[in-house]
Amino acid sequence: MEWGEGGSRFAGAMGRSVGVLWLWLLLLVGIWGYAGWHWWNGFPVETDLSSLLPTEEQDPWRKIAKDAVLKEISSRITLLVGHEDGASARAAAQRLRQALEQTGMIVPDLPAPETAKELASLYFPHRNSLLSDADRRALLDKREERPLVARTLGQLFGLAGTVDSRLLAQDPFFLLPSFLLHLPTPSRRLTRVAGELQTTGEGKTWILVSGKLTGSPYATAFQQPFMTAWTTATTEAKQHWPSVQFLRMGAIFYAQAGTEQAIGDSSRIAGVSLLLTVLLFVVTFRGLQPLLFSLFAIANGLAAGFVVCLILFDHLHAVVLLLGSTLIGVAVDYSLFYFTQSFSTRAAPAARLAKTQVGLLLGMLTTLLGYACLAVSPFPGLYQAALFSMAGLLASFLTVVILFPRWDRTPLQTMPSFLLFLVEWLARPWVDKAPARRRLLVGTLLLLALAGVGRFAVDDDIRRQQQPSPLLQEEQKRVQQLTGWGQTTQFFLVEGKDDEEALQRQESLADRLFQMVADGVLESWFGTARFVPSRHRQEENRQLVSARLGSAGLAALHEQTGLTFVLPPTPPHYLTLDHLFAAGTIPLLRETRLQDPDTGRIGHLIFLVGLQQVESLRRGTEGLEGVRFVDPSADFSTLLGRYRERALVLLSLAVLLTMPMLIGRYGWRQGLRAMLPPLTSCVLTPFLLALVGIPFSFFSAIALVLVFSAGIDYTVFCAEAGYPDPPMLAGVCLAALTALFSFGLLAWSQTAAMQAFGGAMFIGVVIALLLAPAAMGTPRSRDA
Amino acid sequence: MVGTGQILRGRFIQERRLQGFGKPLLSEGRFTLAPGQGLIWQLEHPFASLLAIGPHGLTQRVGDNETLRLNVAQLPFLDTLRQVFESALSGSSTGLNALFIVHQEADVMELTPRPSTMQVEWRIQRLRVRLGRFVDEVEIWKENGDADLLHFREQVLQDSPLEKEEQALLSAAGS
Repeated sequence: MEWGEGGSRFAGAMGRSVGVLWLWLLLLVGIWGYAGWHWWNGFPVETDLSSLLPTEEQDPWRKIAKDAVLKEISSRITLLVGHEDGASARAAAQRLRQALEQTGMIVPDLPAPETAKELASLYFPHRNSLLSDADRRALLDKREERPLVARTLGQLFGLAGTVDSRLLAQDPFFLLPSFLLHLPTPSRRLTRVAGELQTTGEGKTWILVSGKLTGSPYATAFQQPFMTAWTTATTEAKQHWPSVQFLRMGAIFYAQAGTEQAIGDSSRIAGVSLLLTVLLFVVTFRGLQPLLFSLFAIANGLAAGFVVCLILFDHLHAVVLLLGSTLIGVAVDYSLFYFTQSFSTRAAPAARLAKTQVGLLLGMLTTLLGYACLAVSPFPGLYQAALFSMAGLLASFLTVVILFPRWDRTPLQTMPSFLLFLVEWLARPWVDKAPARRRLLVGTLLLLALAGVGRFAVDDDIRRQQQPSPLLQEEQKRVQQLTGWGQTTQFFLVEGKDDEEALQRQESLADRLFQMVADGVLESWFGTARFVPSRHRQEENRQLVSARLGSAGLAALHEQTGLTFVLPPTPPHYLTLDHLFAAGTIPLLRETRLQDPDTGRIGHLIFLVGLQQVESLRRGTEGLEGVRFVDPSADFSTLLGRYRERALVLLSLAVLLTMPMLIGRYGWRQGLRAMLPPLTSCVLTPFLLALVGIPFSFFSAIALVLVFSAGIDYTVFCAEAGYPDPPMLAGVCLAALTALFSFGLLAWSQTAAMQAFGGAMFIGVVIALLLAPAAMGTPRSRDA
Repeated sequence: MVGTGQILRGRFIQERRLQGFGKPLLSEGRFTLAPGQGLIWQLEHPFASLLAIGPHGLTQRVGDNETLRLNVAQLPFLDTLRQVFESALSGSSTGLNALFIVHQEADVMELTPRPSTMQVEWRIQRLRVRLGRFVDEVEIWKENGDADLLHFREQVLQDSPLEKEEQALLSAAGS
């Protein structure tokens, strides 16, 4: 009982002390002034989805690589402009490209038509150092020159017009054309016609428009003008060529659709939540004062949340807007519990506060505990939202306990009939002396949960938690089909002390990858070693060419043709990555080379194309020194799984921390009884979620933490009443209803993660509400 | 002229003159042309070799060695290449008009490439086709001075379908 008395004294002192009153008013002025000043200058809202991603990565190289890949992929856009008439498609594409480039928001990233020649010129002196894998295997493994001799003969006597005498004189075994032919290209389905890269399909000619963004696709300040320029350019093009079609692929389009959906979701949910809450107040209290006071408490909470985030982070994340909107549903509870005392015989505001203050304080502390658990989640966005909510809840609580008793002039009134009905319906199983209703209620819940046991499944796969725009996904699929691009999100990272070591390690990896391509594990890959072999490999190639082709090869050619050929001279130096980077002819190649700023070590990224069997690839490339397979989605899903488990540990911690508070206040027997409803709710909710087809995930796990906090609120007020106290039970009913209006509505969000969170909140709050009156004690225990 | 569904079979002699190499390269063999399906170019002398250009791509074998395999999905210009050879060998100027400026006088066709529509840099300066009942002779002059002279003889037009082996060869070419 000591704790309860201490809490009571604390809340009471807050309500009575004039010093506390002025201090709080002063703080509120400061909060509103700071918030108002930022409002005037425009709130800095961040929509960068990558900042939502957890940063918990033990391996620094993996983090460097993931950041680089994310930045590189997200900064590119790929567009296809299609028309039945090739000339119209080209004209429309040129107009679109010009319009977008004029804004300065994209720069071209495709190689110029002459780059193929430049690349051939760069390679030409090194032609006997550069062997395609097939040629190298023929010379190295089979130890024979016949296939290469046969190729030359095939060219020499082949179908009309296909051989070039100048090349033949300088590269008689066509080593360079073979090397160039086997270079990885993003798409061989694209052909250059009249300076444009084009493909055909779906009865149309498609022209490629590609570019690199000059700003962050996630920053609203960049995203909005870009989308405006895109809409204007495509609308104008459609006016000139009505049947022109555009296909998009790029992170900026997904980011914009995501932002639109998040803002749409949050404004819809917040709007409906606010509307239902206001309606509930008006219908329940039939006066403006409780509504205005509550809005004031909520507004103070929101302002305090904004201010704390702006001070700590300098900006607000879009996800805070979404999750912050749910704060309304919690902050309103304090006002509700206070004002439902107007349905009692307590006319004096001080008496109303005295009756509710322990419950308010206990409720506030347990909810803060719940949000503190969110704050230690791996998502920076959730961390910000948790701090926002904790600051907001504290401000709302202080507004209620400090200001309400002083300003409250609401008269005593009768409880509205709908609320009375709800209270009676809620209390009935627990006030009946016969246990039939209680058993029916608990039995039904247990049976439903039992039915869900068979369907219970855990799903941490991040790909199923997101729901990108189906339209954009469809367009991306068509772009990939038309161009033949099939780049996957998985990649290899090959590390070495310098480029030479990294290239040699890439070559060891390549030996396995070539075999996997033959086995259908993947279609191709893109990495620096395919463009520039290591010095070691170049030297090996020179020796192979000299040993196998220099004598026997040339002799065989002479014998068949009567012509005399010579091998190319050996160049005085080796081809290096720097040579290729300086020429700048291959897009994306420079970006695959990374350097650790701390150690100076080098990392090379290997992008995979058309990956069919992830596990075979992973297993088949194990044991290679310095080679890491990186699967960001799988890593992220594993991380989500780990944090799902951590959320459950945090829930257990919240239970353990709450227990002494309740036992201290109500004694062993009653304290444990008060713990039972929220605990039961947390245990049954995952199985009931399974029953409606929602698998258990990290997002449902964190919802359970909040379900427990809300459930404790309800049982504390029921336990405080100790007997069926209609005003107190009315407060519990109204608090649960507002929680359902805010959190529960997220179950109708279009984002799967939010749906899982909202679904768990909805089911959990309903169970917690139904079982909360158990904390009052059964009739028998009360009689005793 | 060779129509769709018909097959042209015949023999060829190719004389290739390459700049910087003293003597011309002579070769001889058989060809089978099936418009819409592809071309089989079978070398018999000075060694055995086979080139098949089908709807899916191109495959070349010299003796036991497969020396080239190109897929039309990877290199879309192969389809154009096939159409050029089909049109040229069947003497159809309509198929060539899209890619060449065609000038015909009596039984001689002169073709020069249209640069803007060529999908690849082929470096062909001009073609000269002498027509009889079918194409009797083709001269190909390249920008670098290389030249090919092809003589066709014993040409037979058939209305029967391709042999099963030929069909299989063309449909597997490049895939």
